Amino acid sequence: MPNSQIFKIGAINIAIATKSPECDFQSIRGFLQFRSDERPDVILNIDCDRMPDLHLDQLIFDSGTGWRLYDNENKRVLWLHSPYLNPYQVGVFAPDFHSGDIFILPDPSASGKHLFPLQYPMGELLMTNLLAQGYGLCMHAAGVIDKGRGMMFAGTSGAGKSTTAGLWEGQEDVKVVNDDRVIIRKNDGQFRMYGTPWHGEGGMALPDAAPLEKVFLLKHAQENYVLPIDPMTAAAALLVRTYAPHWDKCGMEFSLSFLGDLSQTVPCYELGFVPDFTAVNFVRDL
Amino acid sequence: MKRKKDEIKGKKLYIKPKLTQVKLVVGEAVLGYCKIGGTSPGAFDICAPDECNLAYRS
Repeated sequence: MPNSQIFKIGAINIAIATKSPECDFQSIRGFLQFRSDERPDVILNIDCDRMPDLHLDQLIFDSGTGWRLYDNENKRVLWLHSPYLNPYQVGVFAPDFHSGDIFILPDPSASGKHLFPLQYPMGELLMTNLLAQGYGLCMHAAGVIDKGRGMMFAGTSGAGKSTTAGLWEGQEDVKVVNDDRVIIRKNDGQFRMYGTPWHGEGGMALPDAAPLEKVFLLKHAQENYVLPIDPMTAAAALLVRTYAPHWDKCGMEFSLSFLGDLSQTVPCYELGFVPDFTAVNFVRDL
Repeated sequence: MKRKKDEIKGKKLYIKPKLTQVKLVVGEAVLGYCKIGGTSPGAFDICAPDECNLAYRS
């Protein structure tokens, strides 16, 4: 009997069924609070004692940074490699990414344990592909829920996401759902922000969600200021702060459409901030 | 000399991630479900699905 656990990320329930007793995962702690007992939307079978026999001749995308995506007999194959092990993880998915098999070899640099399949990069790549099927988008942003209201602070690396998350963390009635990556979805006409397990330097990751009320594009500044951004400019700026499936034409069309809808529905601002608590009060007073 | 200052404080230095690279070969590159044709730069012909379903899923 396979050992099965379900993890709910972005309101999508992902079942992880480990077929082989050899699976000895490392780094699962950050995922425990995302566990769920709901019916799974995605089912992944995990095999820890072998690699699949595949003939990969149709390359879809080469990241150049440790993973490639192939087409194999109408399956999508995510091939993860390192300088030490090629591959160390292989995911063979249905074209809609709602089911698949993930094959994992033990990591010699982690006492022979297996990298948990929802860890970076497999987990995020799965989610990027899955969200593009009509569910939403994963954003490069810190997510803050202040008195039940969601605020997304988007920024590329170094823009101040972890700094901003650190300023809000510990404030009364505040939950910082993530300091690096959040998921945005639209349900019943309303955009919602969800925390993810994939945190940044601040290590903040909660499964909480809230209606998204404001979007900020972060910028370091000498003083706190805010500038409203028109929807077209906001959509373009958000695109470079998005984990979008550049290899999937329909996925990109959905992502662009989603950003267009988001930027026309939720107020978007450029937020210049100084890295102290005046920035928190400044945003709360808007 | 920000780097030295960070090192003195014992902080972990920020390592800039590598940019994602897209490798396309003219004539045979594949983009998702679609093939890109053409024999010279700028002469691309995208063979895409007729329509994409852009509806939201719950």
